[in-house]
Amino acid sequence: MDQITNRAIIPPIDLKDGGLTVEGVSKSYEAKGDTTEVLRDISFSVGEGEILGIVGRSGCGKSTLLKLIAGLDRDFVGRITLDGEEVIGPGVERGVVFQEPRLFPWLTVEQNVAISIHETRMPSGEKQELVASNLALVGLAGFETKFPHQISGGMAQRAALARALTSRPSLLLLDEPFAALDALTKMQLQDEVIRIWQSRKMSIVLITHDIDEAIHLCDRVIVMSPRPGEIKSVSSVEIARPRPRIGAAADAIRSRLMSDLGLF
Amino acid sequence: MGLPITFLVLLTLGWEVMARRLANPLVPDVAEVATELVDIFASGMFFSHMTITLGRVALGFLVAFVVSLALGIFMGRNRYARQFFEPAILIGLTVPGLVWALLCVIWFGISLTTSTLAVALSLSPPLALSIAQGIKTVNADLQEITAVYRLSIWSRLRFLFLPTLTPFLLNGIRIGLSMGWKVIVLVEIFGLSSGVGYRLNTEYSAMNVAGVLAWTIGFAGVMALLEYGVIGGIERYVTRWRRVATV
Ligand SMILES: Nc1ncnc2c1ncn2[C@@H]1O[C@H](COP(=O)(O)OP(=O)(O)O)[C@@H](O)[C@H]1O
Ligand SMILES: [Mg+2]
Repeated sequence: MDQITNRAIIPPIDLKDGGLTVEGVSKSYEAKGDTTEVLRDISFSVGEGEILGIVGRSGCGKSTLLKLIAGLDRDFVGRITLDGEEVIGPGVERGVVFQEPRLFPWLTVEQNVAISIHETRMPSGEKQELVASNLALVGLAGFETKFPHQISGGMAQRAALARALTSRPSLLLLDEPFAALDALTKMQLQDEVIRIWQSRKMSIVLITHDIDEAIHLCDRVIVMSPRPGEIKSVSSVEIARPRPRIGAAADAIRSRLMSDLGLF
Repeated sequence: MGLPITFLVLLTLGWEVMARRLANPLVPDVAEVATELVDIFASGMFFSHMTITLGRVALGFLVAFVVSLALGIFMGRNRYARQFFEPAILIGLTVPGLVWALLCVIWFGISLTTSTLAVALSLSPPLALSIAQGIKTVNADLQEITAVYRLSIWSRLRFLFLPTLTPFLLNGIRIGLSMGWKVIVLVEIFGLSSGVGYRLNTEYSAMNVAGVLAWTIGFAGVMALLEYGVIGGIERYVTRWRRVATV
């Protein structure tokens, strides 16, 4: 009956299973002698094939944390490991989708998607097939040769998702990927992420400030409190998929998350 | 299209009127210049000397392009590099092409080194400066993407830096080429025995003003073709991804 477990720090999930572990991660920014503590002693793990949500107010350090996991910033305290190996830089086994599509405006949709496997050794025919199949997977078949300015925001975000998926990552990092989209497109894309996750079974870290999105997509949800960013609570969402967007179970978790976020 | 042609027609008419009123052998009329023009084209002389001059500029340009790209990117991304090389760029921009031409002829004599170096030296400063400024406009979000997917330095150059730099490069190339032509002609006048500059010098020594004008007109024609045809064409091709406003 206990749908929600609430622990400040959860012990790492069995390591031989692989997955992501974040242990005692703290991060400060220094600017002109001023030190801003952004993250304090963050520890959690994401099991293989698990979807972990991180919610928190704007400015609480979510994007900073994601950047550390992505390997884009190595200046931090603590340890991050993926499938047992310490993260010391970016890697194609981690796909990233940001709030903005971040497509190269001078490359076509398929050229943009191919970027993620550009440095991978593979016959070019296989690369083309991989790009085409991932474009089809996100529903962009037929838009291969369009330039980014010729497609809508939702399609651009689909292309960004296809780019992240094409390198066949074991971990997908999503930083408020649907925040800039209209409500309908957003729901559509959320359901597509679930569909893709069900066929690929990669781990996902989803950063969002949308509580409903977290409840709809995630197996567990971490709530972060700001200044400095700390883990306030961890909640499991034990609702069978396909999940209804409304219902008593979702309501219970929503009110719990809202109180953890300091909203009533 | 109509207006530029009108201008050229008026210029020709004006010249003709002036030539007739002055009636001076040093100011040939349009027919004389035209005859000379037809002559140098028909004899194949124009083509062979123009090709030599173009080849020299192309070689100097290639050297300048590689050097400026490396230097410009280095300066654009490193504060100390910028401070260190800034005086060199400023000096380079100030020294007249004439001086580069003279010095190169004195030091390297009649050789390919002279023409290549003189063109490269006058072209590099504006090109490097333009590239250094362009580098600052590289999108940080896209740079993160190149890091996420571990693109090699060459791929970053190809997918991020060069496309970002394109307008700056084209601008630098335009300024650089307009300077390059002047320098190469000077080098050819001073020290070489072929090329458009050499022919101009020969006609000048013979006091053949119609010849000087014919070579100048032919040369300017080729330049205009390069500027509007080739560089303009490249520009249209490499910026085809741009959204065009419909209002
Ligand atoms: N490069 C940086 N230098 C200094 N401070 C930064 C930098 N990036 C982010 N910050 C600060 O760190 C805090 C967390 O930022 P961020 O991780 O982007 O938050 P979120 O994604 O949760 O909105 C903010 O207060 C922000 O001002
Ligand atoms: Mg953020």
